[in-house]
Amino acid sequence: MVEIFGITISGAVVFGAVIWLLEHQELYDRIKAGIIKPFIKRRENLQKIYIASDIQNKINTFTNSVSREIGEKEKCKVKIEWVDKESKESFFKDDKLIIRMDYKDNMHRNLSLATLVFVSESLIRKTRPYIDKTLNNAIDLMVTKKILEEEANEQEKDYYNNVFMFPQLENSKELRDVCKNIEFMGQKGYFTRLFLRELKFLGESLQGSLPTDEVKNEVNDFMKYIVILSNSPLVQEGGHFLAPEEFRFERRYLKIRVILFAWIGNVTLSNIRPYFKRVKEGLKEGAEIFYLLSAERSLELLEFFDGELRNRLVKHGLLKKIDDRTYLIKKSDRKEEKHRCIIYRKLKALKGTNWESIFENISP
Amino acid sequence: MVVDKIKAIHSKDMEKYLENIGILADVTSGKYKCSVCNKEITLSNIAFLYPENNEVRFCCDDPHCYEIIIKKRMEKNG
Repeated sequence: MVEIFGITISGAVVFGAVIWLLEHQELYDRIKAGIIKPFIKRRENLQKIYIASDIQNKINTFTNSVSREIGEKEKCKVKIEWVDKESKESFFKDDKLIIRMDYKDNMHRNLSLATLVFVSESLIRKTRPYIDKTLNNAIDLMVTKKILEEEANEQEKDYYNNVFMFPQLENSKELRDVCKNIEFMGQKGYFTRLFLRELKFLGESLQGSLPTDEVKNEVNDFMKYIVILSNSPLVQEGGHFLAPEEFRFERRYLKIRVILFAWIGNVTLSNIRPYFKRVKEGLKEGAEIFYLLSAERSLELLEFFDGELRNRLVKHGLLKKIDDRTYLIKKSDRKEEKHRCIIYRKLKALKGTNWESIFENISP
Repeated sequence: MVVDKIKAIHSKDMEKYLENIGILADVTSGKYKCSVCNKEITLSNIAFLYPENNEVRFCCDDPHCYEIIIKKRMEKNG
């Protein structure tokens, strides 16, 4: 047997596999649930392991991707904790809902309840006190719906829609409208990557301060802004298609500028001049976060622009890239289209900035 | 990695659990009611339980009731 420093290769492989599975807990849960399922009816004691593994796998698979999209430094995972041996003291201390679960009668309910509780208690937790109740409720309902759409079986989805989602929507036009807005933002890929991401940072920056109507109104306006952004046609400016001027949201708490890339043509310095102009204006007018968004047709242009931005503004310490992701968006014909979202954060005050040197050969 | 725990109780362990937290006799004697519809809570109709103002509260298995409790908890968390 081959041995290096006293460790056999097979031992190292097993060790590596264990570490990998610990990092990918949801896959471990999926394998475990799959192995156990055929024996559940005869072995009642396996039911708890199956129920917990099935729920953990379904929720955690989804939260893996959402955590990345909203810029969570740490992944948030769910763990089902069976409390049969819990004391009265820990029941009161934890202040948690205890959900009754079983395999026979409540299998569809298990996942809906667990997902809804997890989303409402974990997602953008720090931001919740600062946004209004309807928006909080709509985020929970829509994110839970999305998790179930991707991970649940048909009966679980029907159960959630008929028992939780539809009755609440029927009773409130306001909730219905906010859910529609969330759905609309989601179709364009902006709900998690832009809206929830900014809400997460907002919650972190406001932590400890008192919730005010000003913040709530600003967040509601921000949602309307993203919906307009999702639906607005691009304007033509000197042969280039750009987002209209109003694609800026610079208020007291959220200072964001979105630059959409939607142009096909030669990738040259002169063709990225209008985009530099937007960045320069944004910096001067107080924008702190820049979202560069592009669909497949303009990816090459965005990449070129990003490279120039690095060589000019990042090099001079004005901007820092904080995220860069490529993702797929379903189009109306059900085909998938590649999109990219690059996010930059403003780093310092502009006083004394030598714009001529930064924008040499471009002059935006 | 942040792990958020969801507490759960399996139906077969319900009786033992209520005994642990000292309320089994009160539940079987019909003392507890659903916090939403006021229906009598029995061992077989519990959907969930939760602490509120130092008391144990129950929600029955009527979907309308647990929709209201979940919403209330969401608002509390918000």
